[in-house]
Amino acid sequence: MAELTTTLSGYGAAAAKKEQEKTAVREHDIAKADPVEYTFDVNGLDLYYDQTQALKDISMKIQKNQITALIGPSGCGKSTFIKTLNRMNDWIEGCHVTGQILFEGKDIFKEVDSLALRYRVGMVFQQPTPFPKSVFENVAYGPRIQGISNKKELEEIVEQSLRQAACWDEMKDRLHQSALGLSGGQQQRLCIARTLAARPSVILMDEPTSALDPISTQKIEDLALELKEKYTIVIVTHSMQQARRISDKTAFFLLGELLEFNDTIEMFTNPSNPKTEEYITGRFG
Amino acid sequence: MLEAYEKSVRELNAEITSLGIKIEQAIDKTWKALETMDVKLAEEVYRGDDEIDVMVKECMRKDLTISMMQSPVAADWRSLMATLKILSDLERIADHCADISHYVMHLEHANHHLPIPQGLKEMYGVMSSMVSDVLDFYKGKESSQAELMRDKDDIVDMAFNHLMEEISREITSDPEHSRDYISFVLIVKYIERMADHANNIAEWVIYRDKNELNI
Repeated sequence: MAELTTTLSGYGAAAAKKEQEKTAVREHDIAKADPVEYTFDVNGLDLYYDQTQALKDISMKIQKNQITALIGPSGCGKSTFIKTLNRMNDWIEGCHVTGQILFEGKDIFKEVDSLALRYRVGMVFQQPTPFPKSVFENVAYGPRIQGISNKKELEEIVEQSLRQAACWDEMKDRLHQSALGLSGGQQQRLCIARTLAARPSVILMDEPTSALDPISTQKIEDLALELKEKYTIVIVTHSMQQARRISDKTAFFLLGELLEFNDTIEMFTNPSNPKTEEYITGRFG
Repeated sequence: MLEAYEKSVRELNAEITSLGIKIEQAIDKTWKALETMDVKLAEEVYRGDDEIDVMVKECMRKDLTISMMQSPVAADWRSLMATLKILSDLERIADHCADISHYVMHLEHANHHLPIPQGLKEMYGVMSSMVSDVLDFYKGKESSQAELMRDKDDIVDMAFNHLMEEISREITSDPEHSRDYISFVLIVKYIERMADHANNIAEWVIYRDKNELNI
């Protein structure tokens, strides 16, 4: 009996030691884990076109190295919102903004120069917008404006950007031909390469595939999934399937309000707002 | 698009309602065949399983076609996924009716006329009411009650254990007919499995309605 008791207490001590070790490992893991990094932290954002309020009290945090999809019916404010992230709305007469957008911790309306902001927060539009120049000059345009004139350096940037945009193999033999001769899908990827050449940390995409065929769309989606390893991507899309396929988080806008912002899987399996459910199941909009 | 989707779902639900009626009829006939050792009725249930299989397959095909054509999301998606799983459970319930009927034929051919074990009728009754209830839940009637199916399933499990002991005693006291008692063991097991499938259906209804997965 005494032996048994000794054995059992021995097991007890061993178990306690093991539990202590487990706790230490867990604490170590917690200390080691990276805190969540947010590229944008939007707080109480209101945007007006003259007297008309287009965005109402938007607050959301856009996580680094994720794809965030913005969805909602036409006129809901999603394109207005994405353009606010790199202050492209500055050019619109009568547009004024209240609230705060922190980009990498800095207030974009108070602490960041708008031009510098647009280098760091690039944008790709619905219609491909190549300049009427050669493929090379399209991609080299941004770096040239940033002051890079060394030919070798420019060549390296162009090649690297085209490779990142998955179009080097298709375009390496036509670098000095007009970009206007490319197909719509190639032009859009060229525009992504041009954006990347400016060394951004964020790529904003405003319906980047709505003018493209399914194969070109798939290439852009695959590209977005590759690019999120290095960049934060915010995409406006009218395609629910596209939002589901590629995004990590989805934001649902309606009448200028952010009604729901959630993990994409959760949003499309069990949305918390009935309006979101109605929209994504096609019952309105 | 939405109109086409809702029309397809209405058609699917109408077919599942017909399927449910067929399965409830099979369950009733199976008991009658067992209670009265009616071989003719047992054969009817046994053969009728092929028709049920065809109906299940057609419902599955419709469900998959809607999923493929309409790419549903949220509650619509959960409903189609749950329906697919429920169809599998319904098909298994019908299979077990055929299985029980097969053993009814076997027992009758053995010509021993052993009495039905005590408690079997009650166990079958609880299982049968579970299937009726879950078919109602599936149609949306009082689906909030679906969670109560777990309690009913526990009652069937208790009856199963009781019947196993009961039949073991019979085998010990009447070893000459042990092969026939084993037929009853299998029948009891099939009834227990049918209740499990009914419980699964309730769980899929809960998933469809509340996004809670407890399978």
